[in-house]
Amino acid sequence: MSAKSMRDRLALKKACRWLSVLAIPDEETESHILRLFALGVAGAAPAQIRACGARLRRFDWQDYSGDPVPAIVAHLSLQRAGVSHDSLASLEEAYRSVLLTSEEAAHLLCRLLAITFTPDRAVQLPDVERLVRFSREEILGICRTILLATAAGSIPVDSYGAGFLPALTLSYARDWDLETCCALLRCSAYLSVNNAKEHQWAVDWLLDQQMSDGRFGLLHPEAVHGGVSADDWHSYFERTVYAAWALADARGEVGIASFLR
Amino acid sequence: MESLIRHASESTEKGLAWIVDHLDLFVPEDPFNPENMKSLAELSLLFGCLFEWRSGAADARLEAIQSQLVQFLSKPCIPEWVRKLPAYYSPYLVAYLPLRSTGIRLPMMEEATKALGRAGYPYGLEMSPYRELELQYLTWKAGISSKPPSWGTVYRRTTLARCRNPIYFSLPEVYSVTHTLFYLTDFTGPAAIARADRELAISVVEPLLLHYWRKPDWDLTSELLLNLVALDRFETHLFCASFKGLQQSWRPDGSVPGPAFGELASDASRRDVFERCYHTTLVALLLCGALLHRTAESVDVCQVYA
Repeated sequence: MSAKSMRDRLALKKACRWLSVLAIPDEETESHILRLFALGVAGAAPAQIRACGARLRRFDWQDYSGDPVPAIVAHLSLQRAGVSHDSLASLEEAYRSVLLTSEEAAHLLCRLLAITFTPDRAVQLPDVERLVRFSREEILGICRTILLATAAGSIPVDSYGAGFLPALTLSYARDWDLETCCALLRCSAYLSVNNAKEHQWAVDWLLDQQMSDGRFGLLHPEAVHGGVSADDWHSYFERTVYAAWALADARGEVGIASFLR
Repeated sequence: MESLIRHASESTEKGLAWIVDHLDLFVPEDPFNPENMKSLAELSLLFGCLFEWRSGAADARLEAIQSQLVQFLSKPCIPEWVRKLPAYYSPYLVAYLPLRSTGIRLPMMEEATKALGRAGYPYGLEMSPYRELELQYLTWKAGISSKPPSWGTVYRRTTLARCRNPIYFSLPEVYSVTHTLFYLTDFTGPAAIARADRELAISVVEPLLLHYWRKPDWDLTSELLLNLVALDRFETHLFCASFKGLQQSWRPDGSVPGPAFGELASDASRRDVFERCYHTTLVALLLCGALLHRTAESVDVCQVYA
C-alpha cells in the first residue's frame, strides 16, 4: 500500500471514529442517517455501524424528506453489518416502487436497489465557459447529475469537458468551499480524470482540513470573526460526512460503488 | 486561432487608443513619491515590449507614449532624486530601462544609472527572488547587464519553483508566479526550458487561470494567459475560451476593468476609473501583443535560456 493510500485510509478511520462517538439527539433522524451513510461508504467496522444503527429510532418513512442516496446506503450498510432497520427498509421499499414505475430512473438508485435499467453512455457537461460562470449551487447540481447518471462512476460514460473538473476543484478549494470541492473530487473520480495533479492537490488540501480528532473544518477563525462558537459539532458534521464520502469514493475500494448491485 | 488573432488585433487598437487618451494620468502627481511611479514604470514596460515585437515599426500611438516617457524622465529632478536615494532604483530606473532597451539614451538618466552602479546598485538591494529576476531581466534588456535571468539559483528560491500546492497561494504569491515567468520567458517566449520546469509551470498556471477567470479577475487572467503564450501553450480549449472571456470584458472605451472596478460609483471621476483600469489594460495589451507576435511569424527558441 502506498504512503498516500495509507494516509487516506487513516484519515477515513479518524473521521469514522469522530462520527461514531457523536451524541446526535434522537429526533435528528437525517443526521443519524447521514452518519450511517458516511460510516458505510468509509468502510467503518461493522460493530461501529451496528452501534450507530442502534441509535437511529423508528421513524415514519413518509416524513423523511432527505436525500434518497444516503438513506439507501445507510440501510445497505446496516444490512452488510448484519442488522436491519424497519423504517429504513420501508423507505427503501417506497423508493423501489417509485423507481420501478419511473421513466427517468436515476441510474445510481437503480444500481443500489438492483433494479434493471438501460444506462446512457453520455453525460452532457456544460462547456467550460458556462462552468466558470455557474454558481456553486449550479455546480453542486451538476455533480449530483454526474453521481446519479454514472452510478458513482460504475457506468463508463463519454463526457466531453470532464478534463476541466480537477482545475475547477482546485478553484473551489482556493475559495475554501469544502462541500463543493468534495463533490467535484468525487465527480473527477467518477469520470476518471482523477490522475490530474490538480486533483491530488485538492485531496491533499482536503486532508489538511482534518483535525486530530477526525472531524473536518478549520472553523475557529471565522467563528471568532462572526462572534459565534465553533464548538458545536453540527458545524463540522456535514463537512466530515462530505470529506469522508469524497475520500472513500476517490479511493475506489470503499465508497458508494462498493454497495452497487 | 484566427478568431483569437482578430480579437487580439481589434483589442490592441482600442486599448492603445485608451492609453494614449490617458497619458496625462500616467504622470505621477507627486513625482517624489515612489509609490506613484508604478503606472509610469508599467507603461514604459509595455512600450519596450511592443516596440520590440513590432520591430520598431512606426506607430503614432507608440510615439506618443515614448514622448510622454521621455518628457517625464528628462526632468532633472528625477535622476537627481534617484541618485540621492538609490533604494528607489525601482521604480524610477525601472521606468527608464525599457525605454533604454529601445535605443533611447537620456543623458541625465545615464549618469544616474552609472552613479548608482558605482554605489553597488541595483545588486545591493535586498529583494524577493522574483523582484531580483525583474531587475536582472530589465538591466539585461536595457544592455546594462550582459547576463539574462536564468532558471538557476534565483529561480529556485521563487514561489513557483518551491510550489508544493498552489491552492494555498496568496494573491502576492500568484503575482510572484506570473512575474517570475514573465522575466524567465522574456514575456512572450518561446524559451528553452527544462521539461520538468515547463510542466510544473503549466500545471500551476492553468488551474490558476481557470480560478481567476471564474472570479472574474481580468488582471490575473491576463497575466496567466500571457504566461501560457510564453510557455507555448496557447492552442488549448482553456486558453481560447478564457481569452474570449477576457475580450468580452473589454469596455467600449478601450479599457479593461481591474479587480476593484466594481467598487466604483456610477459617477466616478476619470482618475478613479483610470486607477482601477490602467494596470489590467496594460497587461491585456501585453497579452494581445505577445499573441500577435508569436502567431505572426515563426519565433526561434530564445537560446539565451538554453
